[in-house]
Amino acid sequence: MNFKKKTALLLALVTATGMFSGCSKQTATKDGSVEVSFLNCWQGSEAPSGVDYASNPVADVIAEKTGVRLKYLSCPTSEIERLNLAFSTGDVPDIVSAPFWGAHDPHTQVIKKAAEQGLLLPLNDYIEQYAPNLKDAWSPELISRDYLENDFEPPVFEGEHYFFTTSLPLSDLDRPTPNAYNAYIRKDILEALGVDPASISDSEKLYELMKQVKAGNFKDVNGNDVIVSGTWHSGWTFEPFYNTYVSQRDMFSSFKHENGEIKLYQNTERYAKQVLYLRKLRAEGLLDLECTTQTNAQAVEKMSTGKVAIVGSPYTTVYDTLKNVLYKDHPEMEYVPLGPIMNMDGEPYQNTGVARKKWGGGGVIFVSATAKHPEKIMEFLNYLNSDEGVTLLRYGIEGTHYELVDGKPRLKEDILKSYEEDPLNLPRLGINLYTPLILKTGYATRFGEDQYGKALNEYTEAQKHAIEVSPTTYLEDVYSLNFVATRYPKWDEILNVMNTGDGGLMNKAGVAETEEEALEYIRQSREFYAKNGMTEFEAWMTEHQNDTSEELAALDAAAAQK
Amino acid sequence: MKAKARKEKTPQNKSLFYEQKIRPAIKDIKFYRGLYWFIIPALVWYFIFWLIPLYGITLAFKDFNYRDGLFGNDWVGLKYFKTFIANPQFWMMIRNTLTISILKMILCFPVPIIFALMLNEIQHPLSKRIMQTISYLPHFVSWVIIVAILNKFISPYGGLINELREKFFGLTPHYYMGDTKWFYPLIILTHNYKTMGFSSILYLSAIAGIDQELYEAAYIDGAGKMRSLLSITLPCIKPTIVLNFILNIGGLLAAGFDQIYLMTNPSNEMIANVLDVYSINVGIKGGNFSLATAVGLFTSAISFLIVWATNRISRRISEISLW
Repeated sequence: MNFKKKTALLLALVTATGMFSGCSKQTATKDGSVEVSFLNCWQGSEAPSGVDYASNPVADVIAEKTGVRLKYLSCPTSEIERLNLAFSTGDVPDIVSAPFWGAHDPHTQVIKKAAEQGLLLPLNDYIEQYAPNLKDAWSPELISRDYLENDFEPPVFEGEHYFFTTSLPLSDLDRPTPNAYNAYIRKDILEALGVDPASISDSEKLYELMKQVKAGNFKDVNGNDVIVSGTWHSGWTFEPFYNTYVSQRDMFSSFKHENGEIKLYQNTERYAKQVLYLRKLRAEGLLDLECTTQTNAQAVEKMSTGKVAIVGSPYTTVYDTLKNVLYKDHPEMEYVPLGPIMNMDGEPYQNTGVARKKWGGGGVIFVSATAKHPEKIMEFLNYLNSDEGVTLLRYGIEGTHYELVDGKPRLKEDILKSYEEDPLNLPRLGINLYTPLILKTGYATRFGEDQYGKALNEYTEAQKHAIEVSPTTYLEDVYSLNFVATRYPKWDEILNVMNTGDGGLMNKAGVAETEEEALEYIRQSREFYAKNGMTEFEAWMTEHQNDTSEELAALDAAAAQK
Repeated sequence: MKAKARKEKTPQNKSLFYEQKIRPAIKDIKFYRGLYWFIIPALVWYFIFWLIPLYGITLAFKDFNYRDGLFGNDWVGLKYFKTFIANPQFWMMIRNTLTISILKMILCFPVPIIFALMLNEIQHPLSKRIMQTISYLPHFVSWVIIVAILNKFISPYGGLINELREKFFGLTPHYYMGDTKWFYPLIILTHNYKTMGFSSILYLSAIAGIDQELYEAAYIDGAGKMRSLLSITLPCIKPTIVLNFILNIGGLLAAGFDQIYLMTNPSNEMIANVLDVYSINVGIKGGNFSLATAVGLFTSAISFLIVWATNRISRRISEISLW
């Protein structure tokens, strides 16, 4: 064999070896710690530039304490697609954080199916032996009863647990800052019209105000006509506009109370009123025609130039997006809240203004049944959930990143300053990076501050005002009708009809040219649902709406016998 | 035809077929055996990525579960086909898919041919190359970008088209994307914009293969450009056109997921809900792989039947066929 042939053969071998080396599952790292893969299954969870999950000062301490380093996997595609890919190929990362909204939510269904089919690690024994800090993960004090009974501890799990949730509060102090969803209007326009914002107390008054805005011929910063009202991406959210036709007390389910009966949301009168209201706004040029299809970038572009006179949004989204853009040169264009626009129950609550006190849908953590080092993983999770672990994850290393002030950790001045310059500077140090793995965060209760460098409930005057106008209340015990619905004998058929939808009839009603046309589409939509078994289902739901847990369990038992 | 079929079955004809077709082929393969090695990677590729995955279609007849993967699971017969056909939107999806596909077949299929004929008439080599490059570019751009550009172009808020309407004709802005009447024209327009250039390559190469002497003879006989086009170019590229048409017919039930998914909005949902979108929604998003496979198999079987029928018709009419 001549030299050329030998070289070619050698190169071919090197290439082939290199190609196949990618197939091996390397689990040990240079410092002897075990590498554990962690899929953060939330769309857009790509690690920002300069953030390295495996190598940073906090990761080094974790590796030293637990012998585990995380190999981070992000989710560039939709969460449900990624979950299905992992389960159907059997290639489930060691630890996964994923959405879990409960009942017939597809993520919940897929995760529960994977647990039933043995793809997830049964946690009871592991928690008992290796992770006592997670032992109250399924406490009725923390998790809503309906979620606990139906999703975390369904009879089919036979007392076993497969996933636990995160970011739970320790006390009422840890309730999140209210979202303050509302309709916000540009202050200069409001002043020019001489309207008292508090006088806009229902959706029809808002409609009259919109007409005044349109007639006022107001301009954006570039001198172009304003769009009377709009939203952020994909129509998020025009709900504050029609708040008069919404009951937040029914928001926990796809099925609503109406005149003593239970109806599919799309079949209710209030839904029809919402559709007709939006149709009216569109037809009269009062609503951004592109708002249901636009991307966030398009929405931000419009908002940044003051092009949208009235926007439906949480307060923080408006403020955070515009504070360094529009408000910098045009403080007069600050968006201020209207109303309160009362809901159909005569309450000032908007969108998420009525919330569960206990956990009711969000994210869960689970461990793969094929994970190579389940004991190590559980010890790792146990450490992260200890007081020491939570402090490390939230504040970094004592002396280097934080110091104790009155016994509470506080970021050092230089670290806080670098955080204020760029919030990503903390994750670059490993600080606040692994917090999605903490069961009970409870920062306010633990540390006396829930935002770095700020006192508890430290709100600006404008934020305080927005929260006052659009307050939040918490309900102690909620049992979602979604969980009752799954007991309907022909539930699969109903779910199929709900998932397929009415073929766009209701949507078409929302963009119809005339109200008569819209009403005809609404009639056709109801006819469609009635034809496909919804009337019988609604009657069954009405009959079983107040069933107790025992009665629902009896329905389960009867179904299992069949 | 029946007599012909009977004739083909006789032993003499079989032997004749072997002598005339098979034996020379084997002889050819033996003679060029060195060159045939080159086909092996392609065969392996087809075997691994096309043939083996075909086993996956069995999922349409099984209750897929994660634990048993592809090879386990219980057989459930036609359960998922029945579920699919019983779907309340089944006929609407079939109607929408066929409408969009047939429109594309009629209004998009001829466009690359016409474009190739036009390109062929450009005499200046540099201009021709520039035109070709510009027309090929959209093929390499994703539908996400194309639809985003379209949205900008026809936006009622500062979009170029509406600005022109306003400035030159004094018309009020129109929201084209929200107008059901404009859905099909926009689908056709963007499809042509994206595919016209790249699809014309096939026809350009067919045109390049035409014997130049035919044109010279026609010129001497006094034929003009149009006569040469109709009597030489088109008849010479007819086999390519027909074969491509038959292959395109196979995609009749694949209206184009990316483009339609991105262009769907509340106004056009009723005419934009197609099989491809349903398949992705129930299969990948809903995790119902058996149902999604059943939908895929259903469309493939129908597509195959259409291709087979078209091929047969084509063989009868033009004597050009795939097999």
